[in-house]
Amino acid sequence: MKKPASYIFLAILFVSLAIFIATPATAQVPQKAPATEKIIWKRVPLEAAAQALSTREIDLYLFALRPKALQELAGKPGIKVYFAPSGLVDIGLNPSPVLLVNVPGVFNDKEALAERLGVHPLVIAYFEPQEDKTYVELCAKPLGGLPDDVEVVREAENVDINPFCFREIRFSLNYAVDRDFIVKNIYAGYAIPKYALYGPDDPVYVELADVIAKYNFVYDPDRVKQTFEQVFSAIGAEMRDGVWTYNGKPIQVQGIIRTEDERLDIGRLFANELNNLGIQVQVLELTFGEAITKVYATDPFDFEWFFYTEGWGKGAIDRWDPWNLAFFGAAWLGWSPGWGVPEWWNYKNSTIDFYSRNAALGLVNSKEQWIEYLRKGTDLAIQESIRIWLVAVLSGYAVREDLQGVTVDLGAGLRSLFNFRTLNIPGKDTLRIGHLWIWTARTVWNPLGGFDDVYSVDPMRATNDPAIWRHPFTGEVLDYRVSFEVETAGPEGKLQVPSDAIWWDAENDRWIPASEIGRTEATSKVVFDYSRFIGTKWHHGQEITFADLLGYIAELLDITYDPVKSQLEAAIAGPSRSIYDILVAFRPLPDENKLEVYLNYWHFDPGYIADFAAFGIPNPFELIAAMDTLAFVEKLYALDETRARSENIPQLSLVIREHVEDVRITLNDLRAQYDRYKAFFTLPDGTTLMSMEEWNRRIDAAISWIDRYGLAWISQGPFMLTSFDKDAQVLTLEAFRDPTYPMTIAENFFGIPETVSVLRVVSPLIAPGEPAKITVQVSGPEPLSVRFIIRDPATGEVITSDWATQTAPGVFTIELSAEITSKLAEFSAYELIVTAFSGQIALPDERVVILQTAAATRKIIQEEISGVEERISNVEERISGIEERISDIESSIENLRESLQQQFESRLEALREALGERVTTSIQELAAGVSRSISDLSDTFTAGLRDVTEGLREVTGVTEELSNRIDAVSSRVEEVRSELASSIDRLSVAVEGKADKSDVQQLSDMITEVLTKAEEAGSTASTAMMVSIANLVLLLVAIALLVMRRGGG
Amino acid sequence: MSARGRIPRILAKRAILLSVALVVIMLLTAVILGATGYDEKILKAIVVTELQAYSQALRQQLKGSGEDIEKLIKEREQFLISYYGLDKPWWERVIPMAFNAMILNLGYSLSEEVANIAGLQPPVRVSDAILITLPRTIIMLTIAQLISIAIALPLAPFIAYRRGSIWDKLSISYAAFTNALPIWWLAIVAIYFVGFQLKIAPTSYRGVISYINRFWEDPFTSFINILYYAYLPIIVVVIGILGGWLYSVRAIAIRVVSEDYVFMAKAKGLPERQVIRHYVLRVIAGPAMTLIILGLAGSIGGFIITESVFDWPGIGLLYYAAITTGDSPTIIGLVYITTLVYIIARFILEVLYVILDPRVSL
Repeated sequence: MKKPASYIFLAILFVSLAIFIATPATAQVPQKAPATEKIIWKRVPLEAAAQALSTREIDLYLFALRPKALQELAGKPGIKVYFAPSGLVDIGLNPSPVLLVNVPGVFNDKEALAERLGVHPLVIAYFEPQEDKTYVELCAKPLGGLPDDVEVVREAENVDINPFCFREIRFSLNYAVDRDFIVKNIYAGYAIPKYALYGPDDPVYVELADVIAKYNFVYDPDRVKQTFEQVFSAIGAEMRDGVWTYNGKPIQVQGIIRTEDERLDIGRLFANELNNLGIQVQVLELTFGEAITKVYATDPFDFEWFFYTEGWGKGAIDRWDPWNLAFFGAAWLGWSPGWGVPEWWNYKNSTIDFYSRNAALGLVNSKEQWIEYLRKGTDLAIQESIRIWLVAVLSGYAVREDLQGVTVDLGAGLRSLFNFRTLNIPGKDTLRIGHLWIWTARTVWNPLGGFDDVYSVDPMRATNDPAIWRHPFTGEVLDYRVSFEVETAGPEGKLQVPSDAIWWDAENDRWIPASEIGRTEATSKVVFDYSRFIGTKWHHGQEITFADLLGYIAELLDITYDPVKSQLEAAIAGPSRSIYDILVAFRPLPDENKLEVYLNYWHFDPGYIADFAAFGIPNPFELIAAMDTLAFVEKLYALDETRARSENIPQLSLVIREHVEDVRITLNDLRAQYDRYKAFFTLPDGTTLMSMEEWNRRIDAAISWIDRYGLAWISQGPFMLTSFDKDAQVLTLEAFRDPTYPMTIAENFFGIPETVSVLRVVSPLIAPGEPAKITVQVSGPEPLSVRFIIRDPATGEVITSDWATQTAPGVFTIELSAEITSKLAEFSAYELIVTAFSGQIALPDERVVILQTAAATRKIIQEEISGVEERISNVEERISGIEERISDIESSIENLRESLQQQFESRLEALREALGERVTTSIQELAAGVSRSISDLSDTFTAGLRDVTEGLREVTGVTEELSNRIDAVSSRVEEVRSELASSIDRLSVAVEGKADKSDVQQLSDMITEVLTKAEEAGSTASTAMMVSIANLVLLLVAIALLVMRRGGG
Repeated sequence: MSARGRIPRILAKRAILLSVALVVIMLLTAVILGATGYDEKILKAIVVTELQAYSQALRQQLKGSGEDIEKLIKEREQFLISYYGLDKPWWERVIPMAFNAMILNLGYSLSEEVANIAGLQPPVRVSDAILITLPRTIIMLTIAQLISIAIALPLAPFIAYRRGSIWDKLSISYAAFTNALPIWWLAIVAIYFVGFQLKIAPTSYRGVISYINRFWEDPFTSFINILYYAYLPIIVVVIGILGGWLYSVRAIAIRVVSEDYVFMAKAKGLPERQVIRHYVLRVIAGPAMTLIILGLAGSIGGFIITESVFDWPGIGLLYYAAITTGDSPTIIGLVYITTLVYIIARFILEVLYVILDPRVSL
């Protein structure tokens, strides 16, 4: 018999082994969401956020902090800040004319109209030919008055001219704002410059980058000044003492500047720029309430404001977002000055309206057409510039440093749905979240007409799983708890709707075959798989069934189409009808947990079709039925706030005590009302998806839930709402740890978006007319793409724009055909704008490099060489002149010698004749001596000339050397060229425009050196010539003296 | 007719005069709001911003569809114009409000901000908003006023009696110092040191609203909790206003202590306490009561910034919300209630003057 100790040892060994084996298996099971057990969510005022984080009262602050608050937090130990684009800032301009007139006759030509009115055509902002007259809007009152027959429709009081009415002035103001300064100094770097209504913070920017880039909106006050001069001078304004005057009065504007945030500094900066440009600015610094009454509550024609520092919140990130154009550039939605108020003057541009409307409403045939409309509309909106875009603000979300599981949503920041499922503090089971509010008057927890503010939406997202969602980095449609497949025949074709597809008959409250009402074909079909919903549990422990899905859809359609309900809740029914009119039929497949949705909707991105057709299941149907009863049977509550306001009844909220109590009572009553709602989940063939027994069981569960928590918000997400105190502004969420809950932490975690970076741009010198290749190296998560633009920096003209070809991971090639490079001027540098995008991240990276043409470099060198050659030629000419003059001197000397010889001989003969033989002999001796002397002199002179010739030879040598050096320069140029062509590293530096310049400088230095030597040689030759001439003169003087002395002797 | 017999008649006359003043004030308020276009401007701006928010919401809601978006925006606009009464001239919109207010039919607030302050879901009755926020202000400000009065009233005559003493100088300096010191700044400092650093007071005061609103569900617990939340704000307000009280009561008392009869009392060798009680306090009771009653009546107007700092949404913030959002029903309601309280206070004073000081001529 073994000892007990042996058994114990064996047991320990066995258990250890079991643990050893089991551990890896356990580790492989994905951990279910959420990552923390409890969230306490409380109000923390903005000014107390830093303190609350420092003292660990909260672990994160969910309300985005502005730069000034972030600066306070900077450097505080234990606190970390995450950034995400959260808002946009622009300067809204009032483009209103000052005079509206009717001119007799129909004018289609602006010039002719201007002539008729006696004004410069620039003054006419808008004209519209009508039946027998032409309606005209003028930016300035004519200096010479109007013709007598012109009818004044409306005339601004006390304003003779509105500078922002001139499109040219508005556009030029894009160059009057220093966006880099604003980002660095006003936003302390917590912003991205924004040059137009779309910017790098918008995923769709990839399609518009070149449209925006071509304007090259840099800070250039001289350019603005020039435009002002052109426009104002043309219309008769004068600059007096640095101020533009019109009609003898200074041109003045009134700016409304918001005081609450960085817009105060921006507004002051802009006002200062305008003052510097000669426009007098009166500034009104106002808070929101005061400012909006000036800007939004007055007719632009009343000129209570001329510019306003606007700020906008940024919504969810959207891959294909047409709305910025519709809201900020167009007039049709009432977001432009005049605000759509019919009796006021309204900004108008029918072309922008056309493009933006069609893009926004999807009235296109293809993706290409959609992009084309967006591009054209954006381009026009930039030219119109009713808003000068400045920055996309990066707001900061402050958290404790040890917070884990953070996903930075590029649209929602840390308010992302994913974060509530993954955030945790290691070692702690409770997370404390601070938010600006927990409850406001707009905070309504009601899935049918509520959830209109972030304070209800944020905690709701922690408690409710949507069917599909948007990717936090790209804005692409993402299947979340429901997967989908899309089939489409769009935009033109049609699919057959199956005979067993159904539609809700709202008048008779029943599901009917769709074919009965002629719904037999549809543009698209989406098959949704609800397997991760159906069969799992609601928070109150009951199973989610197909009846919940079908009942919820029926309720939505009933509110929309039921004649009574749609009247009562018109504010819900109106927009809903816009959506549901496009739906054709549903084909429920309960056995497969699938639902087919047929719809007459097409989008070039299939995800968008699915998004359009998707239905979530927010609450158990018994709760939906209770809400329906309270709103439409009891009529005690409104679902939407519009009805609440109209009827002075409360808007149902499932977290307000009094409302919850009424829901409880109603649920109790619903036990006997099974038949009233049975039709909502009964198929046309009579199949009922929820029995009465289940109905009652669910009602019991819901009532138990209400009794336990005092709340009626029952959902299916990772957290349960277990307490809500609107007065104390605090709520509690507890983890829903039901084993059927399917979502894991891993599938909710995206982390921080990796950045896309343009690492290097390697470009050769471009030879115009020859093909060229530019290499771009990019880092970031695949799939990556690179778009490039070549722009003339002088004119802003975009030479070409296209996509680069990926040749290896992270490596792209920009191929420029000979046709494209031939558009490049020979002697200019160009801007190459390279924008890298990632399919996984919305924010692109942009880099601007200088693209130089080879021709421009060669020309500089050739100019230098021709200069050298010209100087050499001069030197040669001068040498040749010297040679000629030496030759002349030689011949003069020879002539002189001959003449002297002749004179001497003739005199000698005369002497011989006169003096006789003896003397003759002496004279002959003398003559021989003289002759020797002359010969010696001649020899000396010849030696001197030889020196000159040698000097000349030296000069020639130097010239040759010079020539050789020029050859060396040329070959060096070639070397440089080949070096530049072959060396990647040096070319990448050349991008900065440095290497080429230094090389050219080096060459230039060499040439200068050669020139110096050539000049030295010329100077030597000149000296030699001067010496020779001096020698010659001395010789002649010596000869003359000798002759005279001999003669005298 | 004896003086005593004339009292009711004269008080009735005063009551009528005060009532007329009330009516005039209400009409003036309505005219100021309406004729200047103040509320109309704000409401028009609110319509524009609400429409902008609505179209943003539609953009999310309608996803890719939305051919009806313009129609929906127009419908919404019509609704808002009608809801805010912008389809009516100002006299039809505002004047009836003033008259309705006088029969205590204050109507519904138009503003979400007002609802926020009241902590009620819209639509909010103006009367509810006022009745809910009034106790909050009373708990913080009126109690602080009462405490200050309780300290100042017995203390100030003693200080006046010792005019020129160190206590007198101290009280004057204290009054000057606290007069210059904004209470809200004192509040920020107090929250920082007592709340965040010493951790002996709450750092967030919003919780008190829950206990005030549900006081009668559990009065004892609610009282304890209200005390916990309220003690620091009350102390801060008392520190801030006590100087003013001391100075004012002292100023009234100084004139009395230099009266001959007080000297006479002192000369008679009466104890100081007795002199003050019988010869000073009794005499200053009339003017002091004026200060007290009007001070208490004024306290219900609230302190906007101090309420803001303590996140304690009382009448001050309700006023602010109503004015900034052009919410005429609430503005008129508040003006009516505060004026009514003032006028009642004045009437009470009229009565008290008679009781406290028989010299008061009727």
